[in-house]
Amino acid sequence: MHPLELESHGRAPLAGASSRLKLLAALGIITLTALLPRRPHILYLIPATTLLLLWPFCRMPLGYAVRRLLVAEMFILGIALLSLVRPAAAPIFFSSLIKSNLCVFSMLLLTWTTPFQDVLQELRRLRFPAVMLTTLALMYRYLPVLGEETRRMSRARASRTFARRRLGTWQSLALIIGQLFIRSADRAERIYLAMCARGWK
Amino acid sequence: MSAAVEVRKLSYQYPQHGRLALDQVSFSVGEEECIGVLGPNGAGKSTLLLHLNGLLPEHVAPAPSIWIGGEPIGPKNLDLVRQRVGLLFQDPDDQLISATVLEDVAFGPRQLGVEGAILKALVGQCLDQVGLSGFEDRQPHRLSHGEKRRVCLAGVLACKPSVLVLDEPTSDLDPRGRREFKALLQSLPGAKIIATHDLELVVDLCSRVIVLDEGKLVAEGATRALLSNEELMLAHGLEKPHSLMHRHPHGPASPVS
Repeated sequence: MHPLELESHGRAPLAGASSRLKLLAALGIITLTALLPRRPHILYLIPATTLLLLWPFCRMPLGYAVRRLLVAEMFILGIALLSLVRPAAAPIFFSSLIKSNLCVFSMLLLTWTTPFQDVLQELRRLRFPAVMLTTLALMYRYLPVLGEETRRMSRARASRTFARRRLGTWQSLALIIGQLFIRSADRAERIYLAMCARGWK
Repeated sequence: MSAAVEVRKLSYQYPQHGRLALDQVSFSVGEEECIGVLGPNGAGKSTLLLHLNGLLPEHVAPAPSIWIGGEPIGPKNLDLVRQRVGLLFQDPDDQLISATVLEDVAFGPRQLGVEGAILKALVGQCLDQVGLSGFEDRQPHRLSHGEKRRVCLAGVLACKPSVLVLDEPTSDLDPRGRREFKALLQSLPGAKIIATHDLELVVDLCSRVIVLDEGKLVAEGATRALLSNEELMLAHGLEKPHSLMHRHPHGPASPVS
């Protein structure tokens, strides 16, 4: 099963709506959110209310949304923390947090109701830059390959893990992530060669 | 008549660690000939194959060492070389880059400017050739290893190459997949260069073999005669294939002692 293929596709009332319409709506909400003032403001209620109104039509479970948002939260916090180095940073910090979460949530609603390939196709029709589309397409293609590689490495490590220690688990995880990074870099090199071998420039 | 592939005194040194990967390698391949490239791990087989497609060296040398159909590989004709030489990589997941089989097989021809109905017909024809008709809308991650390899081959055939270069084409295949893939390779016209550890495949498909070890071409000759030389095989990390040791009760081939 592909990690981006959700069973939800086709079940929610909004799943039947035009992919282009959903994509444009999501991009519209993201753009609007990005243009809002750089401090917590009553205008933030506009995208927030819109998303909350759309949510029931997407039938996305709360648990799923929270889990995905938590994954994104690490990156969001990382970016928001950067704003703390500035004077009078608190409003910018909170505004970054709220805006980023609203943007991620709108993308979650989009991907919950629209297969990733349809999103890619619409982006292509909207003439998004080819390099960006190739990057997204390759990411979609290689997510299951990386997932399988991670599972294999985890299994191999588990087979040689004899004492359950929290520190050991974290060390193993760090090693797996490091190895995965190196293997992904090697694979990227081979993919590039394979693309060149078929005339890609 | 010129050879399909001519390699003359090809040397290559890895820029990262300076190790000599290929050292004065010379051989040629006829237009309908199938040759095997043998050698232990790290002998330089894959590096040699990357050279045949113009992927190595990183900067094409001014003086050519490889000729494809009589034409030297140079910076100006890399596109033509890559169309003429179809390279099948060892890991199909490196080669299958698109979200669907159709898109993937169409990748090469698209680079050559083929589009529309001609492209669709070409994809259908190549998938039919590898026995995967109707697989157009399938997603690569849902295919078996053997099917992935066939799709890769279809993607290579779609560029209409005159030389097929295959890196470990039967690794990770089960016996049936291996048998079917071998039959498929046998049915394809043109010159073929197969780098492999599968010596039975070499016995069945290749009329001639070259043996590489530490980047040097250490032996070249007719398949059965060379693979029967047990001393040579063992000296270069290889083994005499089973089929050349015993007479098969149902096979016509007699073992070479």
